[in-house]
Amino acid sequence: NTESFIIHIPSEFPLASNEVPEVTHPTISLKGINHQTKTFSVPVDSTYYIELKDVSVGENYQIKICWTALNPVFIDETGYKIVPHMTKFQDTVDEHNARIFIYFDVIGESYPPLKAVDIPINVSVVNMKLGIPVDLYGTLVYISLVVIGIYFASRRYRVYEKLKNN
Amino acid sequence: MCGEIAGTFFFFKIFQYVLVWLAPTTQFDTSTALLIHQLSSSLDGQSWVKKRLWDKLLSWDAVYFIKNMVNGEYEFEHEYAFSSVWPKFVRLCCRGNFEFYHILKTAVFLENLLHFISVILLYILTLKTFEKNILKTHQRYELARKSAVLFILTGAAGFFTGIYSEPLSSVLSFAGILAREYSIFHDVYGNVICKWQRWPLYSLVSTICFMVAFANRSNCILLGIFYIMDLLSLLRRRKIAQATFFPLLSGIALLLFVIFQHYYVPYKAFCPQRGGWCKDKIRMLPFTYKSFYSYIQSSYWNVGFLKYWTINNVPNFIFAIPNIVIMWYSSVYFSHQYPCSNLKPLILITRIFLVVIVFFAHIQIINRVSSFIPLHLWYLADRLIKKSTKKTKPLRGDDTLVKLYIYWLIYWIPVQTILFACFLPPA
Repeated sequence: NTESFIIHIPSEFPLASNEVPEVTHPTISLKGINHQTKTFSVPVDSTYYIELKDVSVGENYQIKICWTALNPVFIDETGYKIVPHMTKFQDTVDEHNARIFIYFDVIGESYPPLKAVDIPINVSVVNMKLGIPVDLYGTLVYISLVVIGIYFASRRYRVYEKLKNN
Repeated sequence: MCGEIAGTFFFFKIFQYVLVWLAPTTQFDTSTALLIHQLSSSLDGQSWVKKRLWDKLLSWDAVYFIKNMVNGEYEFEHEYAFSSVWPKFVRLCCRGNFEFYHILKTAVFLENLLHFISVILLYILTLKTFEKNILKTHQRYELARKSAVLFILTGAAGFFTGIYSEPLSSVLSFAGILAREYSIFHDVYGNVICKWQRWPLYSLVSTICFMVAFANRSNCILLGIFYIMDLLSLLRRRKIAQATFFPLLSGIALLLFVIFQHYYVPYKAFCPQRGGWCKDKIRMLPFTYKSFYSYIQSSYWNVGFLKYWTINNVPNFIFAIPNIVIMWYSSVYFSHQYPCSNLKPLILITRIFLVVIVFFAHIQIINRVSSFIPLHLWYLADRLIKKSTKKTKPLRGDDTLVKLYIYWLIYWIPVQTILFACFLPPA
């Protein structure tokens, strides 16, 4: 199952300073890459926050939350929050940098109720170019190549004519 | 003939699995890795072949089937929406080895085997169904061959490469229809006459096939229309004994099985502790007014009258249009242009199926769940034969439609197979 939303990093978002505090809360970093997927053990029936690190200003990112249907939950109330520096948020504070947190609610939805306290959830942060998440480019190129191949093959082998006459 | 069909089937499946193999390993929905981690033992190593092929076949609803195949039972009530017959059958064939990838490989093998058996059954069913119709013998064989090939090139595409339950329903549906066809004949007025010496074929074989097909895929309940129409035909001519021991007996057996499967079994499993839907109890009986299947479909998948008719589902309607159009036209074609009295129940089944799919269900599933109905395949095959004998005339009406449908299949099958392998919609 997948829920996704898109966030835009404002161009006035301050760049990170060289001071990197030690973090204990969930984070996803895009340092040197344009997409990243991480698995988190997320408590059921709660709101979960993840800090995005090393994102580029002025860019759009697709946030993708994937969980297996083995764990019957639904994802609700997705979004993101910008937290200024020196501001306490979720019992964390960064004295040097403004921060971006994405959040989502994980709600159990089953009978009998799900026994697991935490469930594994994959969260992906994917840079978008031309309105398309970059991790989909490979699939799109592959589909395009197959469609072109089918076009030429069907012209050459005339499947409809073969089905009709053979 | 069987060799030619087998060759086409083999070539087509190889083509599909090559497409799956070459598809990028990065799926849109990344949850398959979580599924494998949860269900697979630590001894099952992650090899390159698993990543390139087997894991990609676990997209969409495959998760519910593989879970039941591994655990052997339902855990949550919404899982009752998915066949337990198919996972049980796979477990039986696993012969005690319930290692995750062994189950997956067995299920994929059985999926292909069942698809092939259903293709052969369709070939035989076509020959039998059109035995008394106006086709010449060589055209009948041609119709059977083309129908079989068209069922290989099914619009279900990628779903039939995985571990979905539809091919089992196709086998059971075609076998049940075939058993009924062998046990009845039609007089010159199109009335049904049952052969007493073939009673077991009708009331045992076809009924059991339809029951198991229904238990496997609930839309196969529509096959009960065969019994209703046979019953009406026999009662009109006051053939009370035949009506009682053939369609009435079979129909009652099927109805009781539906009540057992959709009302009694869930009630016994969940009530009264569950509350909610359990409260709508019919007096002293261990059933509720509302079908459990309808309840879970409505509660967990938002299935219901016009619930799917929203703007964001427009693409799903577009995906479904080719099969909706071709199925509707097949029912019109065999009602007016090429009327066959023995096809009347299938025409009604096709029409009711379309109404249910269009107004109540997630419409795009038509591409795979329509695989228990052969009427549209006969329509396509018949028009292809008729067109092949009139080579000089330009395409019109039905033939244009058939040509467009074939062209849609040529592109749809590979594209949908890739989308399935990449865990992308339509589901």
